[in-house]
Amino acid sequence: MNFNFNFLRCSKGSINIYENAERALANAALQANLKKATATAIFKRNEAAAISETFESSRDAAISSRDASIPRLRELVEVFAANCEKNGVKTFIFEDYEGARAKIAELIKARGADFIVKSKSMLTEEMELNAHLKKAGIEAVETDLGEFIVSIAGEKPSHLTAPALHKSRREIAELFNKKLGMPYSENVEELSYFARRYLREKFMNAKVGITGANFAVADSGLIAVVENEANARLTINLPQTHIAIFGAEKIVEKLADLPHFLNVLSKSATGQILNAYTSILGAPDKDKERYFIIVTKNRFKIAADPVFKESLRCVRCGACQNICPVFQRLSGHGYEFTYAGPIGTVLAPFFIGYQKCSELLDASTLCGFCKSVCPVKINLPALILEHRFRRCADAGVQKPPLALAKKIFSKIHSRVMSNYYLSRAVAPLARIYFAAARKIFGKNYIPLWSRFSKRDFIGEAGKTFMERYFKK
Amino acid sequence: MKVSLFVPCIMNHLMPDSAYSIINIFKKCDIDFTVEEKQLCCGQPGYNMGYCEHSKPFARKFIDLYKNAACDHVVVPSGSCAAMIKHNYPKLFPGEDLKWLEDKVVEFNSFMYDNDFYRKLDMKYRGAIFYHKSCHLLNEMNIDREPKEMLGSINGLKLVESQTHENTCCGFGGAFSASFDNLSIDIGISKLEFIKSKGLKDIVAGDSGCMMHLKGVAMARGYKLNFYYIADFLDLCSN
Repeated sequence: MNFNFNFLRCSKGSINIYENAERALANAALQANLKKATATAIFKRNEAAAISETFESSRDAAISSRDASIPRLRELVEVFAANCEKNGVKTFIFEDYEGARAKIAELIKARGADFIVKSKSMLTEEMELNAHLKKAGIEAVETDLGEFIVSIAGEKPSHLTAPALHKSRREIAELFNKKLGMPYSENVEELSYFARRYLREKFMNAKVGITGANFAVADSGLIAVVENEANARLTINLPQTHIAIFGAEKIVEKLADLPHFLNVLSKSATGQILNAYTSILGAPDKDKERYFIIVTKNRFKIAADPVFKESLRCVRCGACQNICPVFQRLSGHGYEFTYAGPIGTVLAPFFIGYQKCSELLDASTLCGFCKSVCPVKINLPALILEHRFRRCADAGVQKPPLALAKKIFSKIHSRVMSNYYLSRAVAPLARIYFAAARKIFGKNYIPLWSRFSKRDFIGEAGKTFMERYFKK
Repeated sequence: MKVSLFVPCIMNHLMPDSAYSIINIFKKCDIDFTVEEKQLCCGQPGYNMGYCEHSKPFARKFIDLYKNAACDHVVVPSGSCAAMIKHNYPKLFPGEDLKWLEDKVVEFNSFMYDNDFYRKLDMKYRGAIFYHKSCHLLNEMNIDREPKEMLGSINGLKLVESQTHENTCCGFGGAFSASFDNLSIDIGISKLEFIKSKGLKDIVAGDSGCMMHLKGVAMARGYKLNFYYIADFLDLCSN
């Protein structure tokens, strides 16, 4: 018997995290890829953290830096922009995606380009830049290998730092063979070399390169771009025009704090002592031009929230995703939001509202391992819980039958179990139910708990401790 | 020293013998104890589902029952109940002075370890066990060294645990286990398969919630594994 209960679990207007979970669990190849990739990432992260003498002190320094700058975010964005202008970098600040997208399209068109090269940027995923550029007749070529892979597959990245984490070598070989006409090979070197040759030609002819930024330093008007493939360096240096676009949360107040952020980011993301290439960029080279575009969408709203401002400490390393038992099975795509995993669950309500992510908020065991690996110690489980409080308190959020049942259960539990006499009547009633259940099902069947008989209920249905200890 | 034993709901209803294991240990260690007959649930289920208002009656009754109770400590044998009481009650009643909870309420493992009571048990065992670090005990209460050193002190015991890259959470997660039953069960299966791959069949868990879930998955799959709440195991080894 395999009956689909998902329509009972999810409202129409919400992300159907239940269906996504079942689909992901049924995909054995995906499960194998995810488990292998996330376990390796966490193993490397732990090794790097263990041998480093500076990791813990850098974590604390990064936290202090962030906590001092988050309340002043609005002001620091202005300071950053003013310092960039001094360095000769034209800087634009946009509160919404539309303005930023239009500005970028305008800059590209003015340079007569019909395609651009681009290195990894989650903000551009958030604002769906590539799709909008396409509408304007501009092709965006992703040059980070993982992003390149997902872009030819017509997918979105499934992880903050490893966009193609969900794909195996075999799937990539098939993809390159089918979409790019490469002779079938599962050899990593051959696959990378093919992508490299394909992309080099794009680099040579691009007039505009777009990158993100990992950090934007306010006191000096510099940005830091962190990478391992040198594709960002080519994107920055080969085209005539470089545009860097990033969210206001990337602001770091002082240049002196930057090394701490770089130190924790590389170790937490990929388990490297330091990533292969770090570009610190200010004034453009002679005869070249550079633009910075800062998007503040929702960032100031989060910074002003007394509880959630902590989430702006995030350096987007992906460690919380790697260690999350739910992410390890659901994959980033299952969250249907740009940012997946624990940090994505915390950010989602600010971007898409409580209705759309009302079920997503329940997709966490609150195990708290994300909190322990987060380089800036964001209390992710507590923030997820706070979202659940706010969602439950929001009368405007529609409840599907399961959520309604949970609300009723919670209410009854509260009334009955907080009353001494009623709470002591539960066990005798349960014994009557289990006696009947054993006759009908042959075991202690509880509907939601024992669905499809994949998990038994262990109650022996004997006397409770309280009944035995206080027997009169 | 006099202590009052708090019995979590899952333990009270589904594994009453584990509460008796704790009582046996108290007796072996000459610890003067009582059990409050009027004790109730800590209120965690509603809180974790997002209905913090529903957990207030529980918190109020716990506070009233234990605030002036004639005991030095309330021993709570569950990381998640202890975290609920110590960390979340003060958030439910922000205007109230609940600092006394910090000292008076102690989790079973830290109570046994910090007071060196476990040394009185003179424990012996032959063989290897897997210790499942219950998440709330580890990540909310920061209790890790305590159970591991207590188990490590058992003569003849080989202790195996998983690292953070090898299956962490058991997949229980309270209401999560019912809402996301397939995900919850899949996480549990990974954990059990990992333990089996190490050739182990005895599992010691730090919380009764994890045990209820893992044991249920093991039973449905016909795995021959033995589960012990940590007090069951300490009591067993000290005979």
